[in-house]
Order: sequence, then structure tokens, then C-alpha cells
Amino acid sequence: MFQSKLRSETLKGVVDVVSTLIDEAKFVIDANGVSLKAVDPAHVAMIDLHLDKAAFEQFSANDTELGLDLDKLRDVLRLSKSGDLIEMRQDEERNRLVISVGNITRRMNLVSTEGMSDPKVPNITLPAKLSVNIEELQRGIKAAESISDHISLNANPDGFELISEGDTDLVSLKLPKDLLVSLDCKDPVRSLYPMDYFSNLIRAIPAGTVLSINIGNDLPVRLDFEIAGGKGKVKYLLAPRIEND
Amino acid sequence: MLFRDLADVYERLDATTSRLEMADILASFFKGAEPLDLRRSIYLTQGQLYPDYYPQKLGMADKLLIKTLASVTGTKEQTVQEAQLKEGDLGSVASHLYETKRQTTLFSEPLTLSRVYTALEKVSTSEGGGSQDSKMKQLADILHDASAVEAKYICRMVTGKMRLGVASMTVIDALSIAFATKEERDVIERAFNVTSDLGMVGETLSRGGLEGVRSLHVQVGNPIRAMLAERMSSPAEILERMGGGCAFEYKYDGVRVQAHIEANGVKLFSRRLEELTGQFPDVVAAIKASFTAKSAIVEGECVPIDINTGEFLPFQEVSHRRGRKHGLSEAVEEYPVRFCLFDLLFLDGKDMTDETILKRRAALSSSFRTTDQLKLSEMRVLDNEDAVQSFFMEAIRDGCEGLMAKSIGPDSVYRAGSRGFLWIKYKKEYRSELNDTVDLVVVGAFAGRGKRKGFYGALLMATYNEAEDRFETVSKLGSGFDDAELAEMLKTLEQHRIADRHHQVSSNMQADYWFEPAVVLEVLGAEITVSPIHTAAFGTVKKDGGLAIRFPRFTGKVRTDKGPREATTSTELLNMYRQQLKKIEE
Repeated sequence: MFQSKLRSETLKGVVDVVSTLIDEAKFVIDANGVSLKAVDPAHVAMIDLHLDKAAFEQFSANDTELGLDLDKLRDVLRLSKSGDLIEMRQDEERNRLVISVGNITRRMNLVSTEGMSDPKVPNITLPAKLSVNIEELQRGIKAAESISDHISLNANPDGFELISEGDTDLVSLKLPKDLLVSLDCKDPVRSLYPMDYFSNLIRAIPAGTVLSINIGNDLPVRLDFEIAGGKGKVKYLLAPRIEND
Repeated sequence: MLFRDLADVYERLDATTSRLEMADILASFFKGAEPLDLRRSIYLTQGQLYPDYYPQKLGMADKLLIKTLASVTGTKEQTVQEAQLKEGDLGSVASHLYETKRQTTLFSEPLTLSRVYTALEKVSTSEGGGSQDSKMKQLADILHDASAVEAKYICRMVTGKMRLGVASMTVIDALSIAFATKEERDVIERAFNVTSDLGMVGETLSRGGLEGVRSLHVQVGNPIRAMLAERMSSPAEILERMGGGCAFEYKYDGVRVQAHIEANGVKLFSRRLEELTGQFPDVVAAIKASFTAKSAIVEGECVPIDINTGEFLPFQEVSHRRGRKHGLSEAVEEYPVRFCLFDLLFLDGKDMTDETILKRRAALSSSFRTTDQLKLSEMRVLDNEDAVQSFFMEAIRDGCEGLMAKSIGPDSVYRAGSRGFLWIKYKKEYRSELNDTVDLVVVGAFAGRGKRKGFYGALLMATYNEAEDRFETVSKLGSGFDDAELAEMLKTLEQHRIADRHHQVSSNMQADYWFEPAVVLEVLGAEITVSPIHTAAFGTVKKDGGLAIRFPRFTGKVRTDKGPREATTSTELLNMYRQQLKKIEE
């Protein structure tokens, strides 16, 4: 059973982030809130998301699963503006989600969750940790996107640097320690990541968010951030590229 | 077992063309494999998941595989497609994609053979709505954890294009190297020939040794590999080889079928062990109605019959049934077949393959009731050339390809899966291909049956003999007419109807209706043969036969521009025959 009311921007925050990786998602619901673990088809990135029941205006549920088509949720979000209340209710008999914005009600068939895997979040120890306001990164990404299909993340005791190097051009965004919210790095580290995954995610994160970045040498990057005003958490893992010899 | 080990074996197999080397490579692999892994690896090596006779085949569409590869390797579909155009084989494409892949993944687990096999099984069985997605998911799941080499073979397997060139006989060689001696190879081959399941033979061998394999027997439901014949070109040679005399049997021009009959059903298999049950519901019904045995495995030839002429049709007509799902019942009605039985391999719990042919045939003939659809093959035991030659002519006249000679000695057992001189084909014959149309004169007709009841079923057609100013018969024409044409033809011919054979027509056939030679039709025939019945150019090629056009078909063109004496002449036909006499060297 699942019945809830939440603000349009809360749902949008979730959909924006999750749809950078997948088109259909399995939401696991219990009395405490909603969770989701998903990996993209190429197994390059994964999301581990939790939205506490406090993020909802109204929430009542016991253990259930909802397979949802994210494009359909997006359609519904287009009908609403920030601040609108969205009502969601599981129709277990017909295997549907009933979703209302104002006077509009949409009944959508649920997607089968049978083939959707439950990825185990790999346990990786990453030596460097820093946090930064998302706006700083968004500006850098905008400049770097068209340069190459990969981007390197570099950290040292003095600061953090994004470098995108193509055949002809190079763009770098240098954030010295004082422009970062925090920095915990003893030895310099560097890893290379696919540009599209990284930039899609960075752009999907709402302004005002503080992003925590954990990196190492040729290791996956772990990005942690809060959504829904601190009532939700996202953990995002992205596998590195091996550098050309 | 790790899939990597099998993929390594494939790399080595791929690098050699020597059968001996292949057998050695496989043998050392077989020795170290668990029985079930051994079984599965035998199927996979031959590009399959199951024995030949299972209907499920691997054969994912290239398009779907390209999509999966693109998503797993993070490449654009178009890039994969272009690579395929250049390289052809998606296995090599995959292997290059993997080699140049710089993107790592978050998780990976080593691939086991069992995981690959299970995933491929799911890919091959999933069907219906959403099956494409689920196929892609199953495949992606194993491709994620594959190395370049593993991906290469997974892609080849899933599209059904393994093409390692490992023949069943090579696998048998390898099994005997791994588990037996050279002398005991025959035991393994025999087990394969009677079960048609090499994977099962391999598993049995590794579990229970040679004793286990010896206990594998003929079973209803498991097709037996067909016994094959050698070829000789004269009755004299054949009789000499057969020790002076043997059984001769019509060699029907149809589809060889092995029928497995049990209380709970009938299954039909082709010579290549494909299941044909669905294509011949009429044969299945005929067998159910007429077999008195509780269980049996019989062999025969399904021959298409023209319901109007009563003659056999070219076997291609049966292909009208192939792959049909819709309209099969119409096809069954329009292209009826007769099942001509010639062997019995199993009867009421008893393996008959070790009995002599005459015993098998006696048991066969008492195991069912003869009907229009179910008949025993024509067979005679003969011991002189003339008798063989005249039986051969009868076979040709009846639309057969020739004769099969079968040894009737004490050693005349059914040798599953092997070609030998116990059976000898005799096809060298008087037959020539016809690549052109001929214009033939209608001289008579036979009453129609079935849909043509009340019309003419088949027309008796003739060529013109200039020297004697006579019309000589060459063919019974029954196909190529549509209903409207038939009705029109009826009217036209009615005007030329006469009570008896026209005095200028020479015919050994008694038609139901006779016409004065007037109407000329354009006819396409498949071949010219020598026939003891037809009178065209009689005695020129063979003293007791004329020429006949087999498998004639009306082109739809009535030659109103031609009078009967402008039709194709017997001499022209004779020249065509001589020019195009088919060299039977196959």
C-alpha cells in the first residue's frame, strides 16, 4: 500500500537525477519512505537514493514496490508548477499508480519490476574527500562539455581541478581550497570519467546543493548530496576510464 | 567451469583446420570437464543449446545484438553497425569493441559456463510481447562480465553463427580419445547414431564410461540418424555387388520422413532431424488412424500427389507447406501427400535396427492398414538385369526418381547414420531438363476430382509428328489453370469434343473425353523423360518408350495464333531432349 502527497519540486528533484541513468525505475517503499537503487544498462554508474517520509506532505505506506516509467512522471510534472501538491496512490487491484495534480488525474500502468536487478553498492575506500557548491561545478562543466568525451577529476592538498582535454583544446576549472566548502586530501589523486554521465548528473542537481566528492587514483568517484531540503539523500557512483597509453 | 576455459578452447579450434588437431584440443578439454558442463559444451561448440532435433535454435537478430552491444559497451548503435558492415561477423566486432573499451564498469563477476548457458537458454525461449527487452537484458547480463574473447564467442553463439567447423565426427573422435580407445570409437558413434544426441552421449560417457554408452538404445521420440545409400550407374553393377540379387524399391521423389509413433502422439522428423510434425497434420492423422502397433519408428517418403491426375508431383510442391502457420489446412488440401513407408526401426518396445531388411519389412507391413495416404513402398526382389530395367521404367513412369537396391542378406541391418553399399541408389536415367515452353495440342481430357469435379481435371497433351501427320501424347496437364480459365477452356473444348479417339491421335492412354486436335496451349515443363506410356518420338531414345514432359504447367497462354500442326513437333522435342540430357553426376 502506498498513498502520499508531495511538492512538485521534490518529485522533480528525484526524477531529474534518476533519469540521467535509466528510463524505468523500481521504487521500493516502506513505512519510513521511498528508496531506489539503479544501475545504468552499461553498468558504468549507479544511484542509491532514499527519500524520507518527512520529505512528503503526507505519507502512509507499508512494504511495496512500484515500477515506474520516468517519462510518464515527467509528463505529469510538466502539468504542475513549483509549490503544487502532487497526490500519488497505488491501485493494487489494477496494478496502477493514480497520480493527481489539481483537478487532473492520470492513471498509469506500472512497469514490471521483474527484470530489474537489485545492484549491490560496491564498498570502495576513496582517499580524498571534498565538498563544493554545485553552481561552481555547473559553470565548469558548461565550459568543458564540448571539448572532449571524458573529464579528469584532480585533487591535491591545495584544491580541486576539473580538466577536459580534447585533440585541440583544453579547458580546466580550478577551485583552490578557499573556494571549496571542505577539502580532505593528503596526496594528489586523479581519475578519468565519461563526460556525458558526469555532466548529465551535475546539471540535474538543483542549485544551492552542496556536493560531496570522494575520489582516488583510477577508482570510481562517489558523489553524495541531499535532496528535498535535507530529507532525502543520493549516493552516486561512476566507474572510471582507463587512460590511454 | 569458467566460460573463459571454453572460450580459450574455441580460440585454439578457430586457429586450426586440422581435424586431428581439433579432436586433440577438444579431448583434453573434455577430460577436465564435469559431466553436465561437458554436455553443454558439446552443444555450444556446434552452435547449439540442444541436440539437432530440438526445435529451439539460437538465432538472435543481428539488429538486437547490435543494440545490446552498443548499450553494454557504451558505443553508438551506428558505430557498431558500421563495424559490422566492414567486418561482417559480429563476434569480431564485439571483440574489437571490448579491446578498445576504456570505460570500466562498477561490478563484474567471472563468467561461468553454466551462467552463459542459462542466459542463452532464456534468450532462445523468450517470446511474445516484451521478449526483445528481456532477451537484451539476459544477454547484457553476461556480456557485462565478458572479456573480449568471451564476448566474441557469446555473440557468435547467440546469433547461431558459431561456425567453428567442428563436425559431429570430430567430437566423437575427441570423446574416444578422452574416454576410450580407438577401437571403442564405434561404440560411441553407434550411440550417437541411434540417439542423435551427442551431448547426452558425452555426458553418459563421462559419468558411466563405455558401459553407460553401450546401454543407450533406440527410443521413440529420439530421432535415429538416417541410413544412407551409395550410388551405382547400372543394374549389372548393382546385381554383381549385391551377389546376384536383392530387393529393388521405388525411389520416391519426396521428403524422407521418420515417424515416431506412441500412444500419446506422433512426431515426424526430416532426414536432417528437424521436426516436421506441424507441416504434415494429414500424415499424422493418417498414421494415428491406421497404425495397429502401440509404438513404432518407421521411415518413408512423403510424396505430393496431384488429386486430378493421380500422379506424383515434384517434391517442391511440398514446400508450399514449409513454414506455414496460417493457411496450412488449405495447403494440406491443395497439396495432399502420400506417405510411402519403406522401413521399420522400432516396434512395440523392440529395437528392430539389428533385424534383416525383409524381417523389418514384414513387421512393417503388418503394423498398419494400407490406405490412400499410407502405403508400403513398391518393392520387388529381382535377380536379372532386364527385370530391373523394366521395374526402373515403371518407377520413372510413376514419377519416381529411380530405384533403391537393398541388400537382403543376413547382414542387411539398419546402419543408422552411415552410408554404405547395403543400399544403392540407381538414378542414372533418361531424363533431361526443359528450360523452355512448348506448345502442345489438347487431344483428350480426364474427369476432374475434388475442386474440379464436373470439369476436366487434367488434359491429355500431344506434340505433332510431321512425318506421319499424327499427334503423339506427351503429358497430362493439370496445373496452372485458375477457375475462370478452366470454365473458359471447358466452353472452347466443348466445340471440338468427339466421341472417340481422333484417328490422327496416337495414344496408349484411355482418356475420359476426346477432342479433335485444335486447341494449342503454351506449357512449361520441368523436364523431359522417357516414358513407356506416352507416344511422342516413340522408339527413338528407347525401343519401348516415348518422350514425356514431367511436371507440366499451363502458362495461361492459349495459342489461338497457332493451328495444331504448328504446335511443337515430336522431332523438336527429341532434339530438346538430346541437347539437354542431364548428366547425372551429382
